[in-house]
Amino acid sequence: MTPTPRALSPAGRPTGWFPLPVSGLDRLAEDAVAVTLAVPEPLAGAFAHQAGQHVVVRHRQGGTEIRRSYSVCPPPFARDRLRLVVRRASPDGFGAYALGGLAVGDRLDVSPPAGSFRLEAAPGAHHVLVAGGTGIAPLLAMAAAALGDDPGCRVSLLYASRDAAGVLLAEELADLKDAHLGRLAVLHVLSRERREADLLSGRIDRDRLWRLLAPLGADVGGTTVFYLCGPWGLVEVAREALAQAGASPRQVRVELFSAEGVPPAPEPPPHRGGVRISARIGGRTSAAQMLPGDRVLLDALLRTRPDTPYSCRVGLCGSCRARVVDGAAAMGSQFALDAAEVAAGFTLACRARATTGRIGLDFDA
Amino acid sequence: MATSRPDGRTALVTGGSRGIGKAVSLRLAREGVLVAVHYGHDDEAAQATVKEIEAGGGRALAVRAELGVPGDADAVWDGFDRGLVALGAEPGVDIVVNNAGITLPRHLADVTEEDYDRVFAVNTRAPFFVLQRALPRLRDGGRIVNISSAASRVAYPPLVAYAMSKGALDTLTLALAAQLGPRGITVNTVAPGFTDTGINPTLADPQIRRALAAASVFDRLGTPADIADAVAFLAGGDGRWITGHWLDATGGVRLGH
Repeated sequence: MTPTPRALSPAGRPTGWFPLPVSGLDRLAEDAVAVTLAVPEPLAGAFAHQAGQHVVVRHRQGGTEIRRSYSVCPPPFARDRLRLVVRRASPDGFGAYALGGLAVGDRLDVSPPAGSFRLEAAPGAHHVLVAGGTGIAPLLAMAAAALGDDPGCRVSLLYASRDAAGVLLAEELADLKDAHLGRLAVLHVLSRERREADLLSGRIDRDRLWRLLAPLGADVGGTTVFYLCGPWGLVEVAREALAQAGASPRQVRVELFSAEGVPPAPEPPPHRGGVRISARIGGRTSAAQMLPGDRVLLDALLRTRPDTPYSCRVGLCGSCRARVVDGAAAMGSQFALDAAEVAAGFTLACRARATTGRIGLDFDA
Repeated sequence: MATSRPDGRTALVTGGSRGIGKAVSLRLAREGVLVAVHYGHDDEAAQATVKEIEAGGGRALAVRAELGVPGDADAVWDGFDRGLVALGAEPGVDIVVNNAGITLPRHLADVTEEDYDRVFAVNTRAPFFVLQRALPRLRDGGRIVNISSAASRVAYPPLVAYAMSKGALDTLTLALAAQLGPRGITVNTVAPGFTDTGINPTLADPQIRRALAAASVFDRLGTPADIADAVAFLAGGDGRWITGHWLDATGGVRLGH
């Protein structure tokens, strides 16, 4: 049974789970597959998205529920389909399932696209994309969208892979380059393979980053916007380098897709309980309460609202983003919200605790 | 990122250390439910119930709180929350069985105001506020079972105030069943008849035992396990489509006459 759009929230962002049929499986590398999902017509609105956004996939395996977020990277000739790039090495086994057990015609439970990793609305800008591994997925979608929608813009892509066999979607990148001659520059860096040019081999550090960016004309001047997506190490190196060079926070967009390499944040101690929570999710408001043993607001919410959106639970994906509309919250380290969102009162339920006796959250905001 | 919750559910059974409540605690624990055995004052009985559950490979904790006094519901849940933390169990509850109750074997003429307030405080007020405070703790898909009495549906003047307190509880079942349906939580009543437990001191008299046993079409008194099995059905997955129901568990008392 396919839910109709009526199942969607009356206001705000669409939530819920939709079983989408797998319409294509393309092996991109020995350890990566592109999963293409068809979106039935009635759900087209719910699954409309902007380049850079992600969906959450829910999968049950051996009595355990797995949730993983994947950036949407539509196939070039079927932009209405969702394509997700899945690597085998996911720690929970979903990747192994996608590469082994999943077949065309199967259905995957998918939540509507979300996330604030999007193209800056800046006509004529120079979009500089720094991708690592499967981080290419949202950045390829963004490159295609920027080049297609804004004839005045320019895109430069720095793409770090382990070795030549691990470069994903290389042909599509080449096609995109041919379709927009002179407006898309692509540099491949291979961390574990020697190439003729030393510059293009080995890990990217701050010095190497600038030597790579300079020939692309990527400086921190006015019309350049940087988009970083990849493992924590690469993203942090790039973010620090850009900050030191004087890039403003507005100029740098970041999406982390793996907790791998992230320095472990101290787990918040168990809460003593008592805080009353009111949360609007999908147009319906419910009450919850922090109990002794709960660590973050999400723990309490999931008891009375198991449909509370979440995925990574470690502050990376932003699925559990909500606006604090009453009371106040303190958030542990997180990588999903930018300074403007935090200033606007947004928090992540998977990292936040209330600092007031009652707190109101709006997940539809 | 994988997320998972242990398969086991958590239950609170009020008055869970003796009689029907003990049988319910043991039965739920046998099914792998972590049981919070609430009790009023009998530490020994509560510890014995917990030990019996643990000896059978189950998990349990004892929660002491007197019912029928101001703040009783908060005391129950504070003890419950603390007990789960001490066991390292996840906060929250899946099954609440409001079993604790007191009887008042007096005709209308003999009931004092104190009697009346007391029986309502324990049998009606306490479960009302226990459930009110259960709501943020109850996980979706949970179960509530209120233990009532056949006396709320058939005339039994010797227990009039007791019967009234249970009749009010029946009404709570109906209202909550409607309210909690959208969360997949079922709310039901189980109504025992004459059951062989310590709450009925008159059962010590063999003549009375015989007379009450004869009220059942099976010609025997109910056992705590008879009631616990009915509760377990409603508390388990098989009871998912049954809510707002008053389940007669009397062994056919007053069938057809």
